[in-house]
Amino acid sequence: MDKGYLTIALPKGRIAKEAMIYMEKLGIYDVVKSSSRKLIFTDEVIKVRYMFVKGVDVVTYVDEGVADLGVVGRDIVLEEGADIYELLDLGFGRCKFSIAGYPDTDLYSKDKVLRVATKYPNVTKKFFQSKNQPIEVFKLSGSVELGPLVGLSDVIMDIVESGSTLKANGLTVLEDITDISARLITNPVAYRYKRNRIKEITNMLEERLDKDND
Amino acid sequence: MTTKSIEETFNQQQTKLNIKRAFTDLLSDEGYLFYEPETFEPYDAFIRVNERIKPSSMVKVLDNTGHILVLRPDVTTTIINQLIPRFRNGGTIKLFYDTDIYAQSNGGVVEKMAQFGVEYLGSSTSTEASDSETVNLMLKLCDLFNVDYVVEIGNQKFLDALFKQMALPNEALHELKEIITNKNVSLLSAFMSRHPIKVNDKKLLDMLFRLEGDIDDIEEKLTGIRLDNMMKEALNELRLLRSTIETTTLKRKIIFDLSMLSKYDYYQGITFQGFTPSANRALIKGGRYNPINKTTNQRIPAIGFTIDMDALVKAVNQNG
Repeated sequence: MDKGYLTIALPKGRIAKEAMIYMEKLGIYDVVKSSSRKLIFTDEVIKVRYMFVKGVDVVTYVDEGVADLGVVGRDIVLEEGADIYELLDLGFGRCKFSIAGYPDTDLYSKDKVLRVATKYPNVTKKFFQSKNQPIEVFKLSGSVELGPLVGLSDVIMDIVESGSTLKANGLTVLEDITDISARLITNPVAYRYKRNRIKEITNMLEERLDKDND
Repeated sequence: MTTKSIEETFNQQQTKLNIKRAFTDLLSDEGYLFYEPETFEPYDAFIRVNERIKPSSMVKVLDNTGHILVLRPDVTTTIINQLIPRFRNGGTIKLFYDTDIYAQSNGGVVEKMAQFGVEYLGSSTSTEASDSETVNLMLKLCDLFNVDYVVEIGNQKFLDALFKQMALPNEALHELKEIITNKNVSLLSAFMSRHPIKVNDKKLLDMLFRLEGDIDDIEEKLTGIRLDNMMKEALNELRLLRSTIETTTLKRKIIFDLSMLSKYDYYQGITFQGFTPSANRALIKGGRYNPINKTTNQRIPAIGFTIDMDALVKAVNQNG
């Protein structure tokens, strides 16, 4: 961990774009051109280093101490289950963790094993365990909606934004599990060693959030 | 397994040996006895002491009678289950151990971690005196090597007093503890809006993660908040402990933090954890846990800590 710099891991893709807009408003993001293919950017003036990583890897970089802060969807925090601190709900990237399938699918028949396709096997197992429903999990890394369509699974467990992909494939939300949004995370060591800088940034973000909510 | 060069491997092991020797010498001089804890713990006994430890994170073994054993994931629980029942009230035992603990990662990989620990069971004068002796001994051990570290010190009594006042149902309390352990600000506010919480408790929860720094800062932040006797006692104990730590150490290495909460539920008083920049997990963990002696049904004063040897070796080697 470099003492002088604050390293922030940002996810590539949907959340990255929203995070950028956010940082730009705060004036803590001048050096990064989102069109560029570079993966690391350094702002020498405020001594912040941004690294762009795959969304699911943000937790790993923060947990391992390579990054001091990370912006990541709560879905990934839940799935990874690492020892990290969640400092702030950033309010963007809102969606829901939901179970979806064909209408009228029985989720809790208990005596029948429910087959679930998902990108989130840990969250899925934990949820159905709490409901005492036996399941079989199929881990997929994309287009989870295919699961019920081709008979791989009875239902899917995924994050749902508008539900349009589900609708287009004749599927519907059967149950919402929890709300998801982007979170600012850190690890205990950075929290201690870079306390003031992290405080600075969270305060700035918090003020911004309050303004947006007004 | 990481692939290191053979020189690197031996270099690391030499550093580890040097640290162990220095620790052992210092502790023996201070009158601490060597203790070798059991490797296996009956699963049921372990879970009884630690409700919040994820069963999936423990390494389990079946014996031929079908009993489940866990490969000890920490030593304190072993001491509570193995040593405390045989402890004579009124006595004192100061011990240290040098051993491995085991855990299972999310991906199902079995991990071994080397731990060096110290325990002070019973107390010859007052628990405050043994708190001070133990914390200062921990600082002394860490200062044997040129390692950059900071220690957070909290007091479980403070949070316990708050939890008692809140009188939450068990499941909600579980959830709240998890939230505080992970310093999860957004989940905390969501939790507060879902449960009926008294105004004074709400004020405390709102500022909980800011209750850190020096004791004076913390007390200033607490002005206007009604504190019960147990909370006041918690602050007094921290103040007393602070008065026994050398000023330069205090300034450079100590941060008091009332929101500090371990995932282990056995702590009863002063708690602390230390960090070093080269490790991504705590270098030092410890606190007062006062376990119940089941044969006499009395609480035994006990305080202790463990040092993560792998993290310390790395930190020592990095500083050359």
